Amino acid sequence: MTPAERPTARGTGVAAAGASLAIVATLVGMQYWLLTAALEASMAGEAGVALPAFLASGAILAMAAGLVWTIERIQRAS
Amino acid sequence: VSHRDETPKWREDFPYDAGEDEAVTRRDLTRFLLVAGTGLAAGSGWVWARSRMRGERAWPAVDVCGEGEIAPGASRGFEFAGEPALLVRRPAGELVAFQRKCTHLACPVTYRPAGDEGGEALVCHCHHGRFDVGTGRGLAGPPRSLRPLRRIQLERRDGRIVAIGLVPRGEVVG
Repeated sequence: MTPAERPTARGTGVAAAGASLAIVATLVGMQYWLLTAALEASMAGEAGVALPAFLASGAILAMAAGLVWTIERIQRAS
Repeated sequence: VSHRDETPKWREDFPYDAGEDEAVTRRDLTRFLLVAGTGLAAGSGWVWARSRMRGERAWPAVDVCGEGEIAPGASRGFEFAGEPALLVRRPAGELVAFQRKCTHLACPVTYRPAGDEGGEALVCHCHHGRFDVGTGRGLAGPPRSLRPLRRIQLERRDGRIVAIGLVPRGEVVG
């Protein structure tokens, strides 16, 4: 790889921010689906759906936050 | 007075260089999405808490009409539990009542008696949804995959039809 072909720190940072944004947007979309499905089931009297949906939503949030934190930490270090 | 040593005003509004703008705006949007995700997780928690606190509230009874005032195959609107409702006398004489808001997008449902196109059903005209008159379950259109219409308990009192309560969620009568 010639120096001209080597990715710059700025280019890598932009790509990482874009990838992080795409993954977090997907995860938040899943959380939205979980909320609507749990609300619909709850209103139909199926109480057993709400707790798994809440736990899954919390786990997804933790994953998204962990991803953002990790990427920002790497970017700050580089 | 020289301002050369002070940070210019525009720098406060644009605290990063042009070369960094793409990464910064994507990072900011990602953080905003994280805040939205926190709200969605909190919403799921609220749904769970609400489902644990389920207890049917007692609503005041409503005198709908006299027994002779509604013919077989006819329906009559009334209000119960703060919501519009529909009383139906089926062709065989059975009386049923449901909350009237379609479970899809809350359009009012109407009764279509047997003999008309498609047979006896509760019909939502907004998106051609159809509900079973006996159970309130969705038969066609968007309500087919959604919750049933909420049924209302009825009682006969001295020749009058009285709405006395909501059938608990998840409990389908008929």
